[in-house]
Amino acid sequence: MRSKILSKRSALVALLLAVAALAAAAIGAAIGREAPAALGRAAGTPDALPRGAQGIGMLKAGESRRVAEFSAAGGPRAVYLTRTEDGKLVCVWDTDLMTGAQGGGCNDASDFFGGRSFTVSLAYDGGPAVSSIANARLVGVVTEAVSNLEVIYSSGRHARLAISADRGFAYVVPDDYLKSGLEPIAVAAYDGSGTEIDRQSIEVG
Amino acid sequence: MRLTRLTLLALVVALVLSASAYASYQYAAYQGWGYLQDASSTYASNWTQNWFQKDAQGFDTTVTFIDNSTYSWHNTVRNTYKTTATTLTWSGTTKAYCQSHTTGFFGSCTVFT
Repeated sequence: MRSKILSKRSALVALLLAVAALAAAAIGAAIGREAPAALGRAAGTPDALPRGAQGIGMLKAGESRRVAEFSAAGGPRAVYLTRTEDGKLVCVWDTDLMTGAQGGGCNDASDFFGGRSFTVSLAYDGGPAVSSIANARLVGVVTEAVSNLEVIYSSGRHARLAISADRGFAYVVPDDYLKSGLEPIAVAAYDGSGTEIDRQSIEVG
Repeated sequence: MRLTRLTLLALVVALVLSASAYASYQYAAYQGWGYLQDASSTYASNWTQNWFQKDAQGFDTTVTFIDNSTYSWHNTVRNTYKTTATTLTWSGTTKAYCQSHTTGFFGSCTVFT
């Protein structure tokens, strides 16, 4: 009899703990405190960084996930999410698959999104004059709360950014836009109901 | 005698490792940054990476390399990550450059060979 009571009590405690864990995860997702989802899945062969892209110093890559693929001037590229060897930072890299050259950045692993719904990094060649800039790219990752992502141009024009299954994105700004003075000025995120939940300014130059 | 040989071997290994290791040069010391404040390194032909390390995320910064002939920018990256980083793919003589687009944070800029 006593063991039956203990068993019921144990089951109740386990249930309460599971509910608490789910609630914490939901709250974390809602306020943008969760870690990027792709680092939680099993790694496969395509997730390995290309030769020459291992990072250096305190940014030396430990585990990595390829979260988006795209093409830009110069050839094929991919967006990689990496955790540094010491586990302290999570990085998002716009990566040239031919040379391994990378650009991007890293945030604390403990608070990667910092309360935002997405991260975004702008990379380009040329400049600083906007008319001389080419091969401009926007890459980043989004939280589970984001359903749609858009880049907004200085003219008011919008363009949808495709979000991958791993919650990564990459977008190439058409060169002729920049040459004609049309610049990306912001990226906006929307939830499933179409409500704007985050907006971050982008400025070229 | 055996100890001397081991010491010599260790010395050779250390020299080889140090010759192949990356070297870094902090061209902007850890400091408070203001709007459009910038810094640059000396010109060199062997820079490979350029970092802006901040004490927190959410502050808009740029890192790039500027060549010494056209003064054009190469492999520019701009974002609000805690560390903003780029790799140089252009072959030529450049200086590393970093710029803040905001105020209210501390950080430093470092270039690597």
